Formats: sequence, C-alpha cells, structure tokens
Amino acid sequence: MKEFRRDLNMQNCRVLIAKIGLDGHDRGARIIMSFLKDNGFEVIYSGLHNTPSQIIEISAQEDVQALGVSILSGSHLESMRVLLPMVREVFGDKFLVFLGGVIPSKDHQALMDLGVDRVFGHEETLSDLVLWLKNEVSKRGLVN
Amino acid sequence: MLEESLRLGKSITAILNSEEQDELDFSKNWNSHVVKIGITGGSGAGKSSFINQLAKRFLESGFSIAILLIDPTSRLTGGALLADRVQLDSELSSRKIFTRSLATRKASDGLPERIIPILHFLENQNFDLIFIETIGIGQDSIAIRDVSEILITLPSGDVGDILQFFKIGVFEVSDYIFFNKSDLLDGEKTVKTENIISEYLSTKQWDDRQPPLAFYGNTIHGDGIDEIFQSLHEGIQERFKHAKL
Repeated sequence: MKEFRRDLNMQNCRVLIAKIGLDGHDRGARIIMSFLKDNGFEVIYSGLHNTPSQIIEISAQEDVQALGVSILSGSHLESMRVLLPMVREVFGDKFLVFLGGVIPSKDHQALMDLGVDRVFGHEETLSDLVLWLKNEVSKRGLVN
Repeated sequence: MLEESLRLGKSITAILNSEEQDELDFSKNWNSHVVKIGITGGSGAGKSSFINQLAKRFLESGFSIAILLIDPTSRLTGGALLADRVQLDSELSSRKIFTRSLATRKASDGLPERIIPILHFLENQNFDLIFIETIGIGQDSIAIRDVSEILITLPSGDVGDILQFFKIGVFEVSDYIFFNKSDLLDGEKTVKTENIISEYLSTKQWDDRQPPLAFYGNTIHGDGIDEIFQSLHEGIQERFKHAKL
C-alpha cells in the first residue's frame, strides 16, 4: 500500500464538526467534512440540533483538538456567547474553534473577541480552511 | 459526567498512540461482569439506529453503557469521516452514554487498531454493556466475533437468495440476525426473505452450536425492537447471574 499523502500525521488530529441549535441546514458542513477527510483528518460529525453542553461532552468523549461550528440560523453571536466560555474553561487555549455558515462580516470581530480562532466567510476556499488548520495544529503542537 | 468523559476520552487516545504490542491471545481475561455486544452488517443496514434503540432500552433498565462506533479510514489519504453519532439521540449519546468514534486506521479486518486494549480498558470502568459497531462489512469479516459475547448481524436490504446466506461467514457465527427495514420491502419480498432465513436456519448443520435467532423490524419506527431487546435482556441477566457465582 502507498504511504498516506500527508506531511503531518493528520490522523492524530481529530476535528468535530457541529451543528448548534435550531438550524437544519448541513449541506455546507457535509462538504467541509468530506474535504477534511480527503486531507487526512479524522472528522466526527455531531448531527443536527445540539446544545452547547452536548457539544462540549462530545468534544470530550471524542478527544478532538479542533471544533468547527456551522451556523446558518443567524444565532451565531448568541450561541458563541454560551459555547465559547465553556470551551475555554474545559479545554483551554490548546483547542481550536472555527466558524462557518452564513456569518455577516460585521460580526467577525465580535466573534473573535469572544474567543473564536477563525471565522470563514463565503469568499474563502476549502483549501484556505485546510491550510489554516494544518498551520495552527502544528504551531500550537496539537498533534503528537 | 463531563469529567468522566474527559478522562475516558483522553485515556482512549493514549491507548491509540501508545507503541505497546496488542495482546495476541485476546480470547482470555475478559471481565465476566461486562457484556460486549457486537453489531455488524452491510453499510446502510441500520446498525447505528439499531444501537440507538437498544441502548435507550438498556439505559431505562438501569444498565451503564459505552458505545464504540467504527468507521473506515481512507486508504488513499488516511482521513476518516466518523458520522455514526448522527443516528444516535444526542442527549443520550453525549450525556448518559460514553460514545467514542474510532477509525480503522491501518487495520484491515473491520475493527480499529488497538481495539483489544481499548476494550480491556473500558471493561474496567464500571460499564455493564459495551456496544461495538463495526464498519459496513461484506461476506467475510468476522473478527468482531472474537471480541463480543453477543453478536448481532443486520443483513442489508434485499438479501438475495439462500446461497448468499450459505456463503456469508458472519451469519453462521452470529447469535442474532435482525432483519431491518423489513416493512419497506413489498409484502411478497418480506415473506420471501423470511422464508430464506428460516430455510437457512433449518438447513444448515449447527452441530452443538445454537443457531442465530432471527428478528424482523424497523430501527427508525422501533418495530421489532422490544422483542429482540427482551431476548437479549433475559440472556444478559442469566449471564450476570452465572458471572457472580
């Protein structure tokens, strides 16, 4: 068998893609998951309609190093105001949180101030996400 | 439960990353107070939603439960999409049951690398039941038999003719066959499948082994689940009684 196509051992980087609250649109999340898998990540999907504390429990059980939340319902500020303090309390700073979905650029700064590591807008590509994730993972020493 | 989730989650990662060799003889030294239920079958057969239905009932009966959900690693990229949690009730799988998704990584028999030490670890964590869901399998993946006390196989969709049953290795080592989505086939087909399964069970030479028990139902609507749950529950109670002697 050919050696896996990878520079870092991305297998040891587990990413949870989560949907939060009353938001039933996950086509974008599915595309993100497929792309991350094709770039060597182990991706876990939470399924729809999770509460912040469910997302924290799942992250703990699955021992992920990064959490991507997809929000298309307009509730990104409210949701992150609840989720982010919990994330930082439980996992500290050695844990990445990124956001995608429908998030107006005027809200990006407020989200970063809440502790989100990166917000991806519609003008960014899938490769931007992978590049950023790989960089952050190696910079912060998140994989063995 | 959060502290427990963190501790168990980290411990399993540590086992996955350790360099120790697996114990070769894994038929021995299982904890007799824990029952491991293997769930196997083709992809899309309904394994995860079947676990969801069973786990709900065992939880209501006071059992403490862990679930391992296994999905395949891509041979091309090393990546994996672990999406079985989607079929589970979030509140149960995140807050009342310890649930962990595992990729097969370099293993080739439908079970992940280091499954034996992971199971040994979980057996010593006060669980009564451990569900192990394999990846979707074809005709000859029976490694799950060696790590489970009870093995349930879900044939996928239209099972074909009786020769398929004679060929497929996993049926002859199963304790139960749950024919999911049996209501979705038209009446004639359901009857045909039931005939095939009963012909299979009665024709095959079982020697001193117990032939698998066959159940029919639908894991989404919950049809047929109470029946198989009752049979499992009785068997497990019996096993616990003996384990304590």
